[in-house]
Amino acid sequence: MPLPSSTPAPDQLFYLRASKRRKTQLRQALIVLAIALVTYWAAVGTETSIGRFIDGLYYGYDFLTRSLPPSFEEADRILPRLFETLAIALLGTTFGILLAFPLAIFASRNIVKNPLIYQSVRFVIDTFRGISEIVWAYLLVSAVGLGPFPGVLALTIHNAGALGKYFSETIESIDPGIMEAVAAPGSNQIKLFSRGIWPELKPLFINYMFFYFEASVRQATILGIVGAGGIGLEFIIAIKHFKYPVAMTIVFAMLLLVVVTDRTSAFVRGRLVGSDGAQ
Amino acid sequence: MPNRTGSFGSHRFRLIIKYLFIVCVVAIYISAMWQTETNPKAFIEGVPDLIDFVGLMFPPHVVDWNSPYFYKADTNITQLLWAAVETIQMAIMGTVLSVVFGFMLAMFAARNITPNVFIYQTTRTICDASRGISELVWALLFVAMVGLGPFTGVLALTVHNSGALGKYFSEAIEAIDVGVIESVESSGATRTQVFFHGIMPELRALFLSYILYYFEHNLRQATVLGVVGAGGIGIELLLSIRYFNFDTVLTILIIILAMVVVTDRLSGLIRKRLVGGEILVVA
Repeated sequence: MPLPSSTPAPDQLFYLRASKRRKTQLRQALIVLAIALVTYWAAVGTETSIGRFIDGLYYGYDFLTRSLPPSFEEADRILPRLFETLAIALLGTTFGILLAFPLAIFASRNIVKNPLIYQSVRFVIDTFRGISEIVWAYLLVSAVGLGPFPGVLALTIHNAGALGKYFSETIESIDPGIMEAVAAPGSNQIKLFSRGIWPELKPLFINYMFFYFEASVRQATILGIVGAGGIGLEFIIAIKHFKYPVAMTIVFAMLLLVVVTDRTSAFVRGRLVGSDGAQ
Repeated sequence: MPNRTGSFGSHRFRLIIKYLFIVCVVAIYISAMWQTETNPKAFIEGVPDLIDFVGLMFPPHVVDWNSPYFYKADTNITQLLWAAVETIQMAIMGTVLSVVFGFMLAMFAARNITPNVFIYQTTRTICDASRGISELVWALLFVAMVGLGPFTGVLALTVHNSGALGKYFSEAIEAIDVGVIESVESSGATRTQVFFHGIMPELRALFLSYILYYFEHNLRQATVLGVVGAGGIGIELLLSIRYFNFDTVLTILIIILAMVVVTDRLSGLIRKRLVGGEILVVA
């Protein structure tokens, strides 16, 4: 670290550093202590202990002997469910994006000046995003009945909130100069948007969309657990019927689906944006 | 898309490709809508059901003095709040454990500090597999193994997020300057020392922001693990829906939302100070 121009005498520097170091050490010790206490509290509350882990190893071994090797006896039911899962994820992401754009625009402080509108749209976004897909799916299954359709709706709602938040943060980070030019009377707003704003937003938006498609596939695999279609339905049925070898096959199928879509989506995203998209 | 003018790159050929592409996309969407029964009719028929449902949820149930329903009678706000506390505890425990295991995995899954390709590939596969299966599936498997309760939820969160954190940590480690690692290694440091003295100081802020992000994520997931019996407020949600106590459902949703939004805001603030913005991770 470079020293400032008015360097203290070496012995002074030594004491300054020593006291500073002591202070940081004290602070670090306090942080570690706080984390340890909170962890202990959480461990007691969740009945987590080393003994239970050791017991768990035995139960895990027992489970594996009952579930391996995977059984393919219901493989003909799994494949269509995989396609259904992909379909749910695709539609949930698409509708989510379509809904996220208007939400994001009304939730951006630099576009909507009225704080009432801005805050209430923010509230809607937080609600959509804060409640997870599975809960939405469970509620919608209760409301509109079983099947893949409530799954699509659940993903749409959650993705609209999550993407709406990210989109609006991106919009808010636009250079204010450009925004003023767009808002100025007599300006060609469409041209300014397409030339000035969109090129800045496009790579970020595309990244978010692909990331959320990947996340949606992952989530679509479990929506069936609450009755909202997809491969999760077969999984919960297998588990409830204690057909663990079948459940194992389904787990591998889910894993395969997720890995393949992740890789494909990363590849397409890389071609579109010209990078792997990591910020 | 990159513009390529190959031997077939005539204008008409590219136009045909473009139309074929559009036709394919439209076909995919139509088949997806057909398969998921998503159509205008379903939307229109769904609206009155949704309105009905929302009507059943209002007003939220807070304290119930004399209820005709037997489940509702013993559901009170204190019980829900305790379930919420359990959810937070699960999220904390899951995050702590997955950070520990995530670091362990990352040490062997980063190409620049792992000597052996075989170890590196194996660790990578473990990360991908545990991350590729979502918490709820892990939770169901662990319920089958060790039974009901919050410990099962902690296990599910730990297994899924160790893989995820292992992946993100190792990617961060792979991105750092090789010179730093080599200079620490050349002083005769062991692997652990390299990790704590060469890598940690460089990436502390990034690691912390990932950890915070995963805490948010874990809290959101911990709210649903109860649906399969793995502890937390999800079990109350499950029971309230099963017993058609939709006003209690609304109370639970408000509690979940309050927890999640407060945590998001807090960790967003800390993250902004750490790395000056949002990081994009996909759980």
